[in-house]
Formats: sequence, structure tokens, C-alpha cells
Amino acid sequence: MEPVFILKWLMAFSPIAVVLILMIGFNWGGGKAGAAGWFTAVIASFFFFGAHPKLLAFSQAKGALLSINVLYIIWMALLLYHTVNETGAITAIGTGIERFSQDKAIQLLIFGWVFASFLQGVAGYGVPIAVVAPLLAALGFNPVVAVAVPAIGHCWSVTFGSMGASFQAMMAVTGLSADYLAHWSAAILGVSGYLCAFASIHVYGGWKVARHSLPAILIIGTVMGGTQYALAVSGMWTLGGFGASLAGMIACVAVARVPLYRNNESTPKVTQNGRMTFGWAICAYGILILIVSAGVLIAPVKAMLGHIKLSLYFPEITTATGWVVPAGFGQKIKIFGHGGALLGYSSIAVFLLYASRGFYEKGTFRTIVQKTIQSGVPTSLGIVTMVSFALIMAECGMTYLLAEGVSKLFGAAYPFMASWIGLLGAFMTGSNTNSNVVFGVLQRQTAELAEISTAIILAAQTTGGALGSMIAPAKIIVGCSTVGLNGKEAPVLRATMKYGLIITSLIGVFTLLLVFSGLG
Amino acid sequence: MNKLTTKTTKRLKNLTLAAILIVPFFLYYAAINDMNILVDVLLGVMGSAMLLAIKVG
Repeated sequence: MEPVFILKWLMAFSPIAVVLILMIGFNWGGGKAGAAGWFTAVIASFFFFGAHPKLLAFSQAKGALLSINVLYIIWMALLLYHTVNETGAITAIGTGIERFSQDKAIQLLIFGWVFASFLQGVAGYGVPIAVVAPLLAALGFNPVVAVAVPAIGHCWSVTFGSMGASFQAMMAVTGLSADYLAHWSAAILGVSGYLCAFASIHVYGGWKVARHSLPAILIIGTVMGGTQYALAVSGMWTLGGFGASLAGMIACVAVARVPLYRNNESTPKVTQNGRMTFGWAICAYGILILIVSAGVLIAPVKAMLGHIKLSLYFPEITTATGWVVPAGFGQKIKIFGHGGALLGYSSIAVFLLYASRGFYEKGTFRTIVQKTIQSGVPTSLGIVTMVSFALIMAECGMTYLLAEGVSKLFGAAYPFMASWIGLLGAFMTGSNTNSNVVFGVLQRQTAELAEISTAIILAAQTTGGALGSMIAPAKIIVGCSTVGLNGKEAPVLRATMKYGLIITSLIGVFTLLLVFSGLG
Repeated sequence: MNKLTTKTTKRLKNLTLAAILIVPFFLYYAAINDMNILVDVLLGVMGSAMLLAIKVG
């Protein structure tokens, strides 16, 4: 590689380097680090990539559309979660699950893997760890295990969880369709599901308990992975993680009745919360399934809801160095048919149902709105700033140059690195969504330059991004704060780091095998 | 005093998020109509919002 190319490559990498250094080295949050990355991207694009004010203006408008597209889902998912949680329904679901088995390994699988995946399906953004860690601590598990198990267990469902926000982000930045991406993404994430379950049991009881749990992991993992795959490839990817975990719960009931897992080891019980029963609690998610199914599967309803779209037309624009950005529409947002809108309708229906049954106290509506805003703003600021600098990089050809360099450097071994890049993105930003936003285009362009399957490489990217959730300091800190481990995150991080690196390596090898076998 | 600082930080955070999401649409309008000075001014506003994000984010 020529020295000029290396210098330009380093300049193109500088915004990402700044974000990495600030987040890892200085513990900055996503919003702050993303903004610093934005300034670096602006400076690098002006001095090395021929950017001009008009190009920056269009890149920011495209970034705003893309951000709104992702934030729509995130905010509505948070609204639904708080609407449900304010009734005590999440605790009621946990209590219901706990009755299934007295076997410690099965309990860990139910809470740390299946229930955590369910929470990732309906909320995400650290909620699985924050909710499950105290439940496991209440069941008598060591606090480090109580945090590490859901941190590892929920990862596989991050991409298709939160109503598919991370998958939506990957489609948005790469411009590729769900039809093209869903197959390999769901398949590789399904494989990672087994590995996450095995690791979350191993962190508790080592090889002996892991071997004891293996049949349960294989049965439940196949049910969950298969359900997620079926939902993703049939166009219902917004329900991928959620539907998979519901199917997993049913599989858990069956597995818990197998003689191997029917022992009488006594465990403390999690208490039932108020008047909320398991039936009423799960009812909220029945409504969600109905509304999303109607919005996605019934053609006239889908057409009616998708009628009004928000978008902007962007003319062709060229940088001073000759990089051409073709003309075309920016991200199209279906105001009433978007995944976020369907979540919003579900939230309203659930609120009305629970209010009519008297599950809310006076002033709960205000509390729900306040909690949604409190949890939504910091996450949103991180996403918006990251998207803004990622779009500058893409519009000036910086991302393309990065991809070209990575492709030249790693050559045939690049597929092994794809999941590591995703992991790095999630570690630095604390989010699979952000990782896909920052590295999605880079991975696509690198795969195209290397003439290998873009679908497989992007699947590895989002799987790595999902696995990054178990080592993201922001999420670990949330979990530790719920079990009294404030300021003592290191043992948890050490445990999750070990498993995160091993699983990512295995996924890297799997990706390499898929690419070399000519699939995709 | 701490309560007041927390409240102000929260408000600034909300304001920053709103600015970073809204200003780009004005930028688009200015750029598509070749209003170069307005583009420069709005990029300055965008930069200020990002500075605020570094401060309160």
C-alpha cells in the first residue's frame, strides 16, 4: 500500500478512533463520544476528502431521516415496556416462569436465556440485565453470576429484539432489503444462541452443569432459533426476537417436565406482584402480536398504513476530490405503517385494557411518559450523533476507503474479522444498532470489493454487534447497579469478556467456513 | 443546587437532541435552494449543538 493511501486511510479511520478512545479509555457516553466523532469527521472530510458545506448539509439531512427511522422503534418499544411494567406485569411473568422448574440449571436457562431474550424482544437497551439480575439474586445466585448470566444469555436476540431496531438500522444504512439480509442474519444468530446459552450455564457451574444442561439447550435453542428464522425470513422480523422467546418459554415448560430436570432442590420463591397475574401480564404481548401481525400480514391494512411516507429527494453531489454521491431519495418512513407506529398502537391498546381493569394507580400515565423520556433521551443522543458522523463518512467516501484498506490488509481472512468489527462497534457504542450504523456500510463495501457474500458478512457484523452487548461496559454497569455491585463491575466484565471473545472467534470461524464453502 | 444542575442538564440534553434532529431539515431546505450563507450559519448551529452534546451528553 502507498504512503498516501495509508495516510488517507488513517484520516478516514480517525472519527472511529476518536470514539473508541473516548469511550474505552475515558468512559465517555455514546452521545458525547459521537459528537466528538462528528467534529473529527467534519475536519477530516474538509481537509482530506474534499467535503463542502452543501455536501455536509445533505449528509446531515440524510442522517436525520435515518435517525428518526431507528428512534421511532426505540421510543415506542420503551413506551410499551413502561406501559406494561408499571402494572407489575414483567415481575408477574418472571414469577410465572419460576414455577416451571426447581432445577438450578433450568432456572438459569429460563431466566438468563429465555426470559432475558423475551425482555430484549420487547424492550432491550439494558432492560434484560437490569430486570433479570435482581430476580436471579433473589433466587439465591451469586451477584456476579446473576449479572453475567443474563448479560451473556440475551445477546443472541439483540438484532431481532427491540422490535428489530438493530436489523432496521442495518437495512437503512446499507440500503439492502430484509429479504436479502434476513436469511443469513437469522441463521448465524441462531447458532450464536446455542453458544450464549452454553456459556451462561458454564459461567455458573462449569463443564459439569453445562453437560447436564446440554439436552435442554439443544431443544430450547432449536425452537427459539427456528422460530426467529421463520419470522425473519417471512417478513415479520420485527417480531423475530420476541416470537422466538415466546416459543422458547413454551419449550421450557416441556423441557422442565423431562425426568432429568425434575429434582427437588429447594429455592427461594420470587413473590407475586400485586393483583397482576401471569395471564393478564402475557395478554399485553398477545395484543402486540395481533397488531403487528395485522399490520404486516394483512395486505389491505399494510397498504392503508403504508400510504403516507416521509422522505426527501437528494440531487447528485460531488466532492472536491471527485467522489460522486448519486441522486435519490433518502430513508422513506411510513408514518402509520412503521414498526414504531405498530408498537405505539399496541401501547395505547394495552394501556386502555389495563386501565379498564384498574391495574394503574392515579397519575401512572404521567409516570409512564416520564420514564420513557428519561430512558429514551440518552440512548437517542448516542444514536443521533453516531448516525450523523457515520453519514458524513459515507457521503465523502471515507467509509469506502476504510473498506478498501481492510480488504487489502486481511484479504482472504476478512470473513473471520467481520464479527470482530461488529463486536468492536457494540463495545465502543454499547449498542448493536450503533455498531450496524457505524460499520454496516464499511462491511458491505469490503465484502463487495472482496467479491464475497454481502449477506453473510453483514450477518456476521450484526451477530458480532449483538454479542458485543455482553461486554459493553454501559450495560454491565446497569446490571451491577441492580444487585449492589456498584463500582465492582470488574469481576462481571472479566467473566463476560472471556465468553464474548470465545463466542466471537467461533462465529468468525463459522463465517469463514460459510464463505469458503461458496454459500450466500 | 444539585437538583437545579440536574434539571438544567436534562433540559439541555433534550434541547440538544431536538436541535440535532431538526436543524438538518433546515439545512436541506437551504442547500436545495442554494442559500449558501444560510447553509454555513446552520452548520454552525449544528456544530454548537454537537458541542452541547459533548458538554451534557
